[in-house]
Amino acid sequence: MRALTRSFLLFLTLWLTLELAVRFIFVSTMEGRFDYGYHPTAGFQEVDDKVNLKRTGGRRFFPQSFQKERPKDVYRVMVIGDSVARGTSVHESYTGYLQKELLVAGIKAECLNLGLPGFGARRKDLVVQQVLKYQPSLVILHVGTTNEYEDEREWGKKESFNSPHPKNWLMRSVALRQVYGIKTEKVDGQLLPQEVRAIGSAQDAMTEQIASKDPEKQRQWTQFVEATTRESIKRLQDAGIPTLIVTQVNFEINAQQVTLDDRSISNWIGDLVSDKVLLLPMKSVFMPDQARKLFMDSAHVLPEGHRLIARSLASLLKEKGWLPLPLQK
Amino acid sequence: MSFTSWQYALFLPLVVVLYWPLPRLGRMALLLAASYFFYGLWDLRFLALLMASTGIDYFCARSMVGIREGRAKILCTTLAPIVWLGGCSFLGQSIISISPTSLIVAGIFPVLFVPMHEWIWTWSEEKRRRGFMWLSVLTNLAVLGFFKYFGFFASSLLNLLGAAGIDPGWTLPHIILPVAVSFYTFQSVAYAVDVYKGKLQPATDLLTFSAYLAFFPQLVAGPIERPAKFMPQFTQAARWEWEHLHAGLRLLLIGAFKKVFVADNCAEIANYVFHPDATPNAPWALLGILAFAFQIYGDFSGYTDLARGSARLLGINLSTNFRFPYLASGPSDFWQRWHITLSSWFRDYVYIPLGGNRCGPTRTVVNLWITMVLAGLWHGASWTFVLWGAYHALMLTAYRLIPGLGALETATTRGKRLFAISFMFVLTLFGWAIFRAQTLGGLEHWMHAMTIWTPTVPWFRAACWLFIHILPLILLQIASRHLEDESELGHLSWWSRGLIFFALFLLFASSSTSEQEFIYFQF
Repeated sequence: MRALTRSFLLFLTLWLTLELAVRFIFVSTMEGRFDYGYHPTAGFQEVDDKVNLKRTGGRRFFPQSFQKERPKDVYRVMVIGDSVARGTSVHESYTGYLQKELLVAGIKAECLNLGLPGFGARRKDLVVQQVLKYQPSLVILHVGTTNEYEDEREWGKKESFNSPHPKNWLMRSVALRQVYGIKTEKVDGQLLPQEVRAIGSAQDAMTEQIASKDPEKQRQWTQFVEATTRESIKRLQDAGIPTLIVTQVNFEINAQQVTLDDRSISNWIGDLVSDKVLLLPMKSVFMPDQARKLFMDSAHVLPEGHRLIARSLASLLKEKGWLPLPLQK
Repeated sequence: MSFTSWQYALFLPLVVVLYWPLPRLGRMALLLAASYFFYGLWDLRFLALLMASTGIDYFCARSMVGIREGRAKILCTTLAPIVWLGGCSFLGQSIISISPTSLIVAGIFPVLFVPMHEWIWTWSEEKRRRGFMWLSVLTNLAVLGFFKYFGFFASSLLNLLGAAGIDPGWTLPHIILPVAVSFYTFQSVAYAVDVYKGKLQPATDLLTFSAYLAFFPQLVAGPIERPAKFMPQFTQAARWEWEHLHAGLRLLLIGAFKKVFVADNCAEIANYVFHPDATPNAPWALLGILAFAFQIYGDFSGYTDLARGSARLLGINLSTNFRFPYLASGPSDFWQRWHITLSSWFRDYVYIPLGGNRCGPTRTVVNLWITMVLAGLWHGASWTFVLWGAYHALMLTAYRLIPGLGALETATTRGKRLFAISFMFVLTLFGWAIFRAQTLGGLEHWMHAMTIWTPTVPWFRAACWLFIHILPLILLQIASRHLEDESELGHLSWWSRGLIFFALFLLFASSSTSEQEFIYFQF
């Protein structure tokens, strides 16, 4: 009896072949996988002179494309935010509605939706760093405090996965990572209903709920959002990019009384406003009595809400004289 | 430490590498240390219980064949639990709490056992042999009864008294169920009975017996081995062969695939359907029970393959526990295919001693019911397990008494056999609903869902998803369908085996990041 059997050697050969094939063929889609959104360039695929926004490496951008070098006559707006800014599609998010408003005003606008579900200040700052490369005419930064739990959790996963811990040894194989990715994203993600997956992730939701009700944790997260947002704004200002901050508001009902709560962002966000930084609080866009019809849950806004935000954004930009001149008809 | 954890992936190769160069007694010492370490990672405290059980069974078995051990040796062995608990209490205060009651019980153990041992030795030979056999059997059953069933029966009694308007004012203690207790106590009982019946010579040394009883690959969830087949593998040193490595790795791969890809994924659907907050309709209720059928099969047969693979790497053969159970043509056939080592244990140590089928049809049915209800209760202290056992007893009775059904089970024509298998599969599914429900309310919830046809969450995609996770297992079984061992692939060509290994490995890796406990660990 030999130590290595032919079947075992065949198994090893197949694995090795797949490993090499994946390394050469799927190299672009492997970028940032298992960095849980903390990879600097994941999701931005540069092909020749174009940039494609993709769902990869912990980034779930809506698929969009733009020129790497911004054409001189294009007013490029990049919206960086979380699931609220992302909306249900590019067209029904305030990014899409803003593009329509600007096009109607005769401005050759290119509005890009870079909203990513669950992204808090830390991961949004990584996106900010990346978009500096693409000469935006305006960056709209959507600021909120509801995703810091996810940022913390995903950072923990990233750190854990990239550690030399033996539990990660198997997944050092890019072929196995690709197989794992296909299974979780294509098979589980597309076939298994959300209701079923929610039962499995109930523990995580519970942990988040407990953490969210801890005042000390809330205080820490607010401080963290403030510090990181200041850094992001400074980065944009140093690059000379006009910036508009949209602040998140949460819809709550207490004893039949509707309130719109910005979780104390307004206490510090005003300090960041300057001649190159504008502010649009969502709180100023909606009236509390409108909120019932405009929110789909405590944080996410229905398309009509996005349309109202886009209209306010366009008005503010026009009022401040930030918009380029309309094209000659 | 679960078999599919990274810790076990480091622990097992280390034990295997250290094991083979050692002489037999060295191997036994290594196995004992490794097994106690493996078990201790769950709960250090219950190692004392395992030590106590080891001591009682060893000395009782030796006494049954007329070998009287020295008092000092017995005393030292029976003092091990209190020394262990005292040590844990003293050194590990910050990580583990030892209750004063545990210390008292461990302290009383040598005080009771040593004089009793001496006293039984004063009896006449046959009476003494029987006395030691019963001492060993009853002690093991008492341990099992106390830790597993005391809370259940006491709370049932309280509920009954409460229903009658009586409040006895009892406060029941919270008793933790020690991992593996159902398995090693059954193996100990089999050992005592087999030595008493002269089927087996007792272990020659305490070290070998301790390693035998605590053998880590099968300690936690079986297979429940027969001493006559299992013990000689400890008393004679195995010789290294490459076949041990090849067979061991094959079984580990198949086991990991069954557990991680099949069972853990099927659990998603089953957990959803049986979740108290879920509102499934009939298609979902069916999907849920189908998912659970493959979850529990993948989980337990996967565990068995992992146990067999681990043992094989150490040159030890464990019994086959599953043989295509969902191809059973009737309940009797099912129990010759599902958890074979448990069903044969109940057959040999409960059903046959009760009289089996030798005392007329009425007594046979009574024996069947006693055996199956006990087998149900063995799985857990809950009325749903009792009901599950009774349900299988009912099926066995019906197949025995109704001529058409009995003939169906033994049918040989293709069409009838296919019908028999399909019919039995449906009956098995209903049994799993009782098993999975956990409470009678849960069972009612599932049965109610079977009557709802209004649309809820779309189920078709979920059915496709489930099928994707079941199909590879079915294909694997088709590949080995003519064999006694469902995890054997030796009859296939080398390239077919290579392709199958690769496919199973990829499927395992596709689901390998979430680690879930084995279902049978709770029993």
